[in-house]
Amino acid sequence: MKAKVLVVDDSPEIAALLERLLRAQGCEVAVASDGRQGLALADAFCPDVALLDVMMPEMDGIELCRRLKAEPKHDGLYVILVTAMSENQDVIRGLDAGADDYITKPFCKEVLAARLRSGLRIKAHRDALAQVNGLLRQEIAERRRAEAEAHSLRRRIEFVLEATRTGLDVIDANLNLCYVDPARRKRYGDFTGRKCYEYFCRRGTHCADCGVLQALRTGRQVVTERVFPGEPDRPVEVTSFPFQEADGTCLVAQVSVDLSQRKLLEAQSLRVQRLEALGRLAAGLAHEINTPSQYVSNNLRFLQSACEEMAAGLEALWRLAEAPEVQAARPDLAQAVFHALPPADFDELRRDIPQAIAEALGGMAEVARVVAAVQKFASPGRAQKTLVDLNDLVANALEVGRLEWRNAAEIRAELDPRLPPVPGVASEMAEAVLELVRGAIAAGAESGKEPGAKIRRPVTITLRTRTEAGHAVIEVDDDGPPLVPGQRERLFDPLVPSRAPGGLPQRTLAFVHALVVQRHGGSVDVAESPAGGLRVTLRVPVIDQPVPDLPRLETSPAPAPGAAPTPCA
Amino acid sequence: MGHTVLLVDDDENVLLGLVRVLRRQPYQILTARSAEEAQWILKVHPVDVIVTDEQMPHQRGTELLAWVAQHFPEVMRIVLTGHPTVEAAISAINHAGVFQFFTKPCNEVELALAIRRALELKDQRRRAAQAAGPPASATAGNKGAMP
Repeated sequence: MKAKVLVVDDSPEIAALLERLLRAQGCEVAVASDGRQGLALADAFCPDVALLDVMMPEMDGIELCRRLKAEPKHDGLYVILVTAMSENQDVIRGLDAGADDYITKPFCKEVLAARLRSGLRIKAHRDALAQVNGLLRQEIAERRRAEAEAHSLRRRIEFVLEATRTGLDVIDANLNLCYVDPARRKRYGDFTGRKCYEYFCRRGTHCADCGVLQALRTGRQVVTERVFPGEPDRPVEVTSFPFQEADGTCLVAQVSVDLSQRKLLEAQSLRVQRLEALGRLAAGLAHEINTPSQYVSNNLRFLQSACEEMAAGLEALWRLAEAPEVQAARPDLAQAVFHALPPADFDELRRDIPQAIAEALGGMAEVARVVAAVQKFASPGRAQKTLVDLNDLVANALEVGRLEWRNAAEIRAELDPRLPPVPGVASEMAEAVLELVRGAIAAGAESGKEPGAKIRRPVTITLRTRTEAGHAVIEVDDDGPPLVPGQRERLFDPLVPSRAPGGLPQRTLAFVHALVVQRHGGSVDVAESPAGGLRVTLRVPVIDQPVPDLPRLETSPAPAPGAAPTPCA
Repeated sequence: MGHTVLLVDDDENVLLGLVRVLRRQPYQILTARSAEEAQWILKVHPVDVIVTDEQMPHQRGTELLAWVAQHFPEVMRIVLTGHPTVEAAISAINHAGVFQFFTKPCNEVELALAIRRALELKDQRRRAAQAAGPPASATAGNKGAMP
């Protein structure tokens, strides 16, 4: 390809001379007679070298040089100024304006040719450099884009990992860590250059049952259960997947799933199953037990009063036998009485029989309590759900229970007038509220009792309703006794002894749990009440759930706007 | 004149137990082992209060009470059931107009109190009816049967 040279000179003779010389050198030549024309021609012609006369009217060669050099399109253009022998100032100004070389008039045509060749060599170098630069820029931009994509994808994956409490790590065949999810990076620190066994297992060498090595050896996924020393209360199931990268590197990706959640769920579903089985059992059993309970209790009561009467009669008989008149007149009869009923035996029986009956009655009361507790789970809940106003419901429940606990409790209601209705079975929700109030009263009444005194301190119970992100909330606070150790663990057990370890009544929320969680998809939470006793919070989902606040991903850094100039090809 | 209370249960043990605990109460106690027997007693003997079990063979307690409500409306009706269901309670209230609904095992003091309240209420109603003058023709037959 011919080298392209632009000649700008206001003297037609010199211009013609230069043109001829240059064509003789095998160049393609364009000639302009002033600066403005030269500028326009340069745009169209895209020269490799420009020969600019310095002394021109209007726009001189130096100004033209400055403008050409400022144009990104002419990046790399080699500029030679043509100047008079005496004008050193012009040379200095010209070189400062970006000119690459100069030649003085009058010039020797061999020198001109040599300078032209030098210019063209430099221009060729510049072009090659610009081309490589362009390619590099392009590659950098592509890499930046890919990096941004990878970053954003990684953010998404890491978000999912965190949200699902899933761990992910990648380990190479030498057990070096290549990647660890952010949650564990936070916990365990920087993983670069560390082995998996020292990072996670805090060991000096790999574990005997190392999943990574097994996965690499067998080429199959391996599942292990582990408890890492850094997270002793979080058992995890680790699945190790071996894979090969494009370059043949063998790696193992390990996914760790938190088992504590699953174990909790398993325990919960076991509880639900237990409750269901209990319900079925209760339905059949209750009637069979309640009827004999009725007459056993009745007969015990009868025996209680009959024994009292009989004891009074026997005591009179005994007094009679002791009377001197009787002893004198009929010593045989008196002896018969003392023989049949020796004084020591009589005292013992008079003390023990009522006690035995009282204990038996207590036992029957306990049977009745257990059956009643079990029976609550028997109702299969066929009732249809409707929209329930929990404020009305709480008020009604308090009205229903008012007689039952008028002396035992002081009940306050703080109801949120803006509480939305919830879909539910009103009777079941009311039962849950009543159950909570009864539980609080039972617990409080016992603790408030002075030893020996019959007056019980009334329990103060506060019922609150409020709205909370998609849920209607009922909160029941009491100022009864706090939970003793061992009570909390059994709060949700369906069958518990009536007494907790400390001798206080064991409270149970199993029935409330069944009503609120299983039947209404809500939740039951227990905390200490600021009033001193227990705070039980029931949450029931409302029907129109507003759009929740979604977690927001960090926006990935955009690739730097590298406005790569397109050089003249 | 003395009052009469009729206890109905298919389980004799329950009847005997109730009779024993209520033995000092100021009324005569009759017992029936089935709804049919109860109906027969009601026809031949004046009764003030009936206390019946719910689950009995042949005829349920609430069915018996519905019959009582129809034929002897002045008899006060109480249910004592070992298997309380919402359906039974609703039916007892809607169809048999029961005075009180108890579940087994029930405290005999509460039962005795309920029977006494029922008797008092019944006596009040009778006095009110007498004070209101000659009875309406619809109840004339029943009134005539009473001593």
